[in-house]
Amino acid sequence: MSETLLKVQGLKTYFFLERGTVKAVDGVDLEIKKGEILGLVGETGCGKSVTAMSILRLIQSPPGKIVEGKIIFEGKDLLKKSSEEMRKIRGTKISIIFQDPHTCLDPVFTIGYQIAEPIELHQVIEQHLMSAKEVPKKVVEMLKLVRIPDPEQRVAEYPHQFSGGMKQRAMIAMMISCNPSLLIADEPTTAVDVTIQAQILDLMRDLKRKLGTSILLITHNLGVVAEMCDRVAVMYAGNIVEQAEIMTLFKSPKHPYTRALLAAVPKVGSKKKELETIPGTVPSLITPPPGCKFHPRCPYAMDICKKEFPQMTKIGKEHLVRCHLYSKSKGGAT
Amino acid sequence: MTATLALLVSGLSFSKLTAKRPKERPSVKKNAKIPKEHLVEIRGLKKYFETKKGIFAREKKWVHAVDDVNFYIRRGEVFGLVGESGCGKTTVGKLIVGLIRPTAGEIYFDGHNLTEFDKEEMRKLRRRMGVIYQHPQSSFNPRMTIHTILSRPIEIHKIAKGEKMEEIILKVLKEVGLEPQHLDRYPHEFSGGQQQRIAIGRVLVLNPDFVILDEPTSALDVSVQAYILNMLGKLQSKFGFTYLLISHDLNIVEHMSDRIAVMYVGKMVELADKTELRKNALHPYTRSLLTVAPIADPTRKRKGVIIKGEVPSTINPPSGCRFHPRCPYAKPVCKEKEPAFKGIGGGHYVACHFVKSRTHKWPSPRK
Repeated sequence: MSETLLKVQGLKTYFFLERGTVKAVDGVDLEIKKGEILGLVGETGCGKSVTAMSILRLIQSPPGKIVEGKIIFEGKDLLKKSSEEMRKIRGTKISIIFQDPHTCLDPVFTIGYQIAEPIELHQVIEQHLMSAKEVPKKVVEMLKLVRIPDPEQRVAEYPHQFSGGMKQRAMIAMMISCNPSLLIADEPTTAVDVTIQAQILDLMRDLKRKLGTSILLITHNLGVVAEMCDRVAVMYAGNIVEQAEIMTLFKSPKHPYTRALLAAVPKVGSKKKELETIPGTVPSLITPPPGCKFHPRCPYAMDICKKEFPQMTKIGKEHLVRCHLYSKSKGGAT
Repeated sequence: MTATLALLVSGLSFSKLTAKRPKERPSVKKNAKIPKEHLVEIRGLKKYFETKKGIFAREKKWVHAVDDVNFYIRRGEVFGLVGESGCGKTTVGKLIVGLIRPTAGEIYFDGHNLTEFDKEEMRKLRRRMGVIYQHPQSSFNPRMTIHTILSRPIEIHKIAKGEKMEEIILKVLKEVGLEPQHLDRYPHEFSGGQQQRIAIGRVLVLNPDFVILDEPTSALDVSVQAYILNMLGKLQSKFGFTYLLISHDLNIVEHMSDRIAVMYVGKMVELADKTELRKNALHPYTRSLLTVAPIADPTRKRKGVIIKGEVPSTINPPSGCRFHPRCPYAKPVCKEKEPAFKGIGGGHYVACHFVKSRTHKWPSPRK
């Protein structure tokens, strides 16, 4: 459980636009261990998806560019790989599931054909792990694994014949067909209904158990995080502001933003009539506020918060916070 | 030319005749007694939509969007309507404000039968109703300034003019936390949360009695959602609104509502007070909904099972109880007979063959 699979260090991904440079990801450090589910939470535009796309080197350039940092995957820096090497890694070692399966599946090809494609490319042509004849059997097997009923018939169907939840499951089948060691799930259940969401989350948990895949789960839904993850990283305006084990984060959140976020969720059985809110709005990523980016909205803001960008401070086992309140040398440079 | 036209017309009417048309609106009962306390009451409401399948389609199909729904909303309460996509919750909202006409059934608003109203009467009555939609940006005209957006309803309903109108607008702006300098801006200049506040403002200028909130915060982030929900709560207690809150998010509905109704594939399956529903949900569908809704608390252990299968289509809904193909307790009777939506005491209504009283105990389901 303690072996590191992926380590992101000081990742900075900027988008160079006419109206200025958008610092979408501005120094992100992440670590995913083997066989764990790491949650990446944050509100719209905080840089969660850009982080995921940076890991896969799928940032559109121009205008986007990874300007700094390291992405160490299985001991090697992905940012130093050639695009041909990256192509081989995508799908076999690292896969991604997106929010909207409707736009990811090609409407003119059958589901079976689309699931067979990565298997043929990676496992038959590149790695010679199986012969082309075995592919159809493997496709049916994958559909069975993601619990699609009558997989033998379903392989010949087109995406429009599948419901939303089934499409998402077909996407998962496609993405795990080459046994990736890391699966990035970018809002995998945002577009589906609650009962279907429960089925998909259950399936992902099951796959993690069976195949030992590590999962980076990107979501804005704190409920999903609570149910799925081992550890959580909270992102705000391009930075990770707090990182902790799931129980620690929900029981004793330290960063004022994490606290506010948790307090803003309606609680079951709570008698309180009012929810906590965060004053102000999410800052611009082109001209973020100086110092701590959260200080204009923070109820505990001090003078130093306006001037100095806080460093990540370790305050417990696996618990990191980026806040001056917990800095070891308050008021001084760290 | 005329011959072809005539042929076409006759062909059309012929296809209309051959299509199995659902029953027409039954004659309205004149002496329907609606308790004064019920601001909105709905009886046997049905809405079937025709599917358009091109000119070669032989058979017309009907989408059973809302199929025999009965409920009432008390004055000053927040009535929550939960369900998954396509269960007909939004259609119920649209039927109440008269944006679409029901296939059958009656809708009473403050004692008036809306299904008897003509367009003009409906337009007048709509002053007393407001709707807030999920995507505020698509409900605004992008070429109108905020001032125009807010003043239009006042002009249309001839509530005030000139200075008096400006007074109302400024008052409403303050109420939703916006500044007078925002009035000359356009909708796209605002964030999602601010746009939703403008949408709330547009409802407030008419000072309605009844507001439909159709997924008011689904497009918003958690922190903004909290702000909007708080604002809606405050406005309700200040102006005495009655809300119909439509949402797929059980946590939000539970936070806001007094009573909650659950819909599944065009039918209402359960209705109860919010505490009763949380503690004593009896319909198997409601029970599984409560189980699967993710809750931001990692210490909570999941009770019950995740239901299998997909949400069925409303074009050919399952026979009998519509939940039977997914229900862990289904018996042959569920496939044959449709369960009645009946009261079991304490304002608790359930549509299930097996639930006869509030003390009904389900055995723990096996996977």
